Amino acid sequence: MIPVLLPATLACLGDPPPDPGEIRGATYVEPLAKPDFVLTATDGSDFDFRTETDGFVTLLFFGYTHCPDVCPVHMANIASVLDELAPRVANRVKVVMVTTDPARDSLPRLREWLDNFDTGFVGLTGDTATVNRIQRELRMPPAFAQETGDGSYAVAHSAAVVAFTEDNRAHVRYPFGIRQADWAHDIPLLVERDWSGL
Amino acid sequence: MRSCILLAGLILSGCGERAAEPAVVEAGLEVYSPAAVSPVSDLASVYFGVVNRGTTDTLVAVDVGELGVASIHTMLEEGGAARMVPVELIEIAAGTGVQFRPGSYHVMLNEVTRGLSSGDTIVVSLRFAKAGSVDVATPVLTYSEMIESVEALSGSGAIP
Repeated sequence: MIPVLLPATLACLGDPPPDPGEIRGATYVEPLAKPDFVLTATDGSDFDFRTETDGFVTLLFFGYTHCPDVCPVHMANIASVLDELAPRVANRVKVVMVTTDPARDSLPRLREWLDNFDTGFVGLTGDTATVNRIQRELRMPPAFAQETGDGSYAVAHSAAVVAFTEDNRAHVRYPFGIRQADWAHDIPLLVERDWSGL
Repeated sequence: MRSCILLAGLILSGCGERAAEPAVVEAGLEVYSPAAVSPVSDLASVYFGVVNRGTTDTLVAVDVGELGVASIHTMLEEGGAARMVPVELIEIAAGTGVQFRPGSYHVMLNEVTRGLSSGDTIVVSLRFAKAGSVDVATPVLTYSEMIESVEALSGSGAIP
């Protein structure tokens, strides 16, 4: 009986587990350089991205607080996984969200929104020209506002999280749809693997 | 022998996933796993699944009364950019269903008049062209709880 049932049971577990060394995010053919910019953090201070994130795995996302769906789900997934990871891994990760809606995202509002997920997440705001330049450097289309027909607007923006590793380059990005299990698999690899020669 | 019974049980129960029970059954419509989330005090999103066991009907609006302004959106990703698109109507043919979930259909609540906290319950009225309004008691969850709820419903096979 067991030989008959075993294959069906294994099928329930899904596909065979991937090679633990195989990253689940989408890898860039050519890694991206870490962009050089200074924006304003939620406490009003200047945040020099290269200086502040040097030596950390940095997950960079462009979004806005009126985003009801993609942005909070990304943030919630990352926060939940960082909570579960060993501190020696989680403490080497910074999460940075740059608002694509500076007109509505005041610093207190950005802070309130991020605190829903993790009080350590960094929120940044700045002028549109700078934010557009950063997105272009990361090969993302610059975000743009779009009327929703009810007198308000939504902001179209890249739904991907860009992951910079300790070598200060981005080798991997995470499109929307990436799940907590994928983050839990990949974050330790982003932290512990030596990406410098890749 | 015990292991045989255990293995058989796993298979019969669909890999351990429990069949979802509808939260509301009314006028031939079944509403599954309603969930609201609120990342800031003036904004919330609502997710659920609907199965139409009656004749073809159309979801024409969602209403939360004085709590806020509700609208249905979906998400489209084009040219590397994700954007929200308002949705006027969702036809649900007899015997089919639709699931509101992140990255797809969602109800957006704007101008929310009172802060929503995990543990609160709000009433969300789904207005159908034929069936009329179906009121759904919708718990406010954390984002992690909502994601878990949505994934459980997706895996349950309850939405044809």
